[in-house]
Amino acid sequence: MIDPFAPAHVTAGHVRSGELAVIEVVEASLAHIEALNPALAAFTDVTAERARAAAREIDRKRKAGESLGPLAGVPFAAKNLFDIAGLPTRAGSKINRENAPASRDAALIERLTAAGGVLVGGLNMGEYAYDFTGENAHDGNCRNPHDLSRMSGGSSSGSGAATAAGMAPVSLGSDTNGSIRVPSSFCGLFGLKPTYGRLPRTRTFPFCDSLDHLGPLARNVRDLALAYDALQGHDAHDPVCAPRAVALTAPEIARGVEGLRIAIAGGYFDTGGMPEASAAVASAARALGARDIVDLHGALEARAAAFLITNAESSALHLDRLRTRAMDFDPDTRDRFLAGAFVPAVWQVRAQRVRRWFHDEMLKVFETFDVIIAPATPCSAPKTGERVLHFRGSDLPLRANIGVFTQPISCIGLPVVAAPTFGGELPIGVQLIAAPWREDLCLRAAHALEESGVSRVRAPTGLRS
Amino acid sequence: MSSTEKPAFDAELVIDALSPALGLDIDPGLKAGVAVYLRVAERMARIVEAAPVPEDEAELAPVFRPGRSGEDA
Repeated sequence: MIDPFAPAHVTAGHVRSGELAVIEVVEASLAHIEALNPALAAFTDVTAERARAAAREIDRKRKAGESLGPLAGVPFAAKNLFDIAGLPTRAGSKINRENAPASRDAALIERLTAAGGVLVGGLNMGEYAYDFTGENAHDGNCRNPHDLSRMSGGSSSGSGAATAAGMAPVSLGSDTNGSIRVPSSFCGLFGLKPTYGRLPRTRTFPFCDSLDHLGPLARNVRDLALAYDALQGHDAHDPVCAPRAVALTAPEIARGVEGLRIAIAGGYFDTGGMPEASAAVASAARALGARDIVDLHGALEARAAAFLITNAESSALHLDRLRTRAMDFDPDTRDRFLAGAFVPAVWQVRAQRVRRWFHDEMLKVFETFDVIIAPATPCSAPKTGERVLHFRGSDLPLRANIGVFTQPISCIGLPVVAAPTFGGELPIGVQLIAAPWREDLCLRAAHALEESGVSRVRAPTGLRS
Repeated sequence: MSSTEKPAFDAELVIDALSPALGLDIDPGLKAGVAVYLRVAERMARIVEAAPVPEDEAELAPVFRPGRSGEDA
């Protein structure tokens, strides 16, 4: 009996040693997906035959004595804005599923495959990634494995639900304003949003080029680091991808946080009146020995800048579809996309200047601190269909405000790991933020939290396959 | 309104005025919802406008590197 919650690195070790045949791992994963997906709506496409063929090939290689990758035989799945050869890249939309099938996998799918991973399918997501809830009018609302009446979080909703439910120990998501970190928080996972420009976005459907990031989600930090390491490397097909050498993190994660200067984000990130977020930050701070509170001056303005850049750029991307097929959009994204068409250029340009300014302000903070702890979301997963977020004494539109704590960080491209805490009835995450290109520090802090017990991922109770 | 006070932002007026230039024909049933989000954008614009960005100094965030996409530098 194969445990669907076995860590990916353990599975890969058993595959390499010959204790496990990849075809058995894949068949177990496919059976688990088939059993759970009707309740969760995490997968929109299951690539069963491709997965079986890949599994047989890895098993053949092992028998032939060929070397196998660090993720040998590990099932993984990708948000459906990643190209998957043979499938239309729907990007959560009704319109794009009419496109011709992709002829080649996204670069990051190719890299995980080269590391021995086995793609088992494409994952549900909020339409065109303009979403924090996991709700989707076309493919159904993705549900939270810890409580099926609640949101998975978005827009990498299927990534969060599938990995939390044991359907794929590693998944790929995208994060423009928080779309890896929000589902990681709600579903109780680790998610890494690397530095802007670290991972190539080649052959993925964009949302907002200025802010789009890709990254992995996993149930433990070693799996997260192994996946991230396999994903690294320059690709000139994405003009934003930085020509930097691969900086392996998996060998670094167990170094602990001794000597790291860790602070708690205050001011804009203050969690007063948010008991779950407050408890999450406090438990992470205690475990990491953080006492200093630092006011991240400019976060409010950066959040506003991210909102405007996203609204204007994404609307420009979709303008022709908005002209001709507005009624085919998900009603929950359509009005926002349409509004973005009316954003004056001067607002957007000002937002880009604010982005540079906040970036420079944050570099000063990183002269004093190595890692900053901030809340990932103001609350744990809301009920599906909830429209209102109670936030600092006001009732705000929930959909646009779940990412209030994640948006300023992605606005300036800082690397960040969302790490889960399990102090209450539902999981809720914290952000571990470092200076540009220091993903290693985020992962070390996350590993320390995992070792302390604060961030040890729990399998959802009540889910049966 | 005093002579120095900024006039209230009329999102629906902006939508009506710019739609022809943008080639958008906003369904009347959608206009109020679109206006809600445009007003949110305007509030965000006021926040970025008030940011103490060094005038005439700060570079824009995006960096443009000339050269054909897909070729290594």
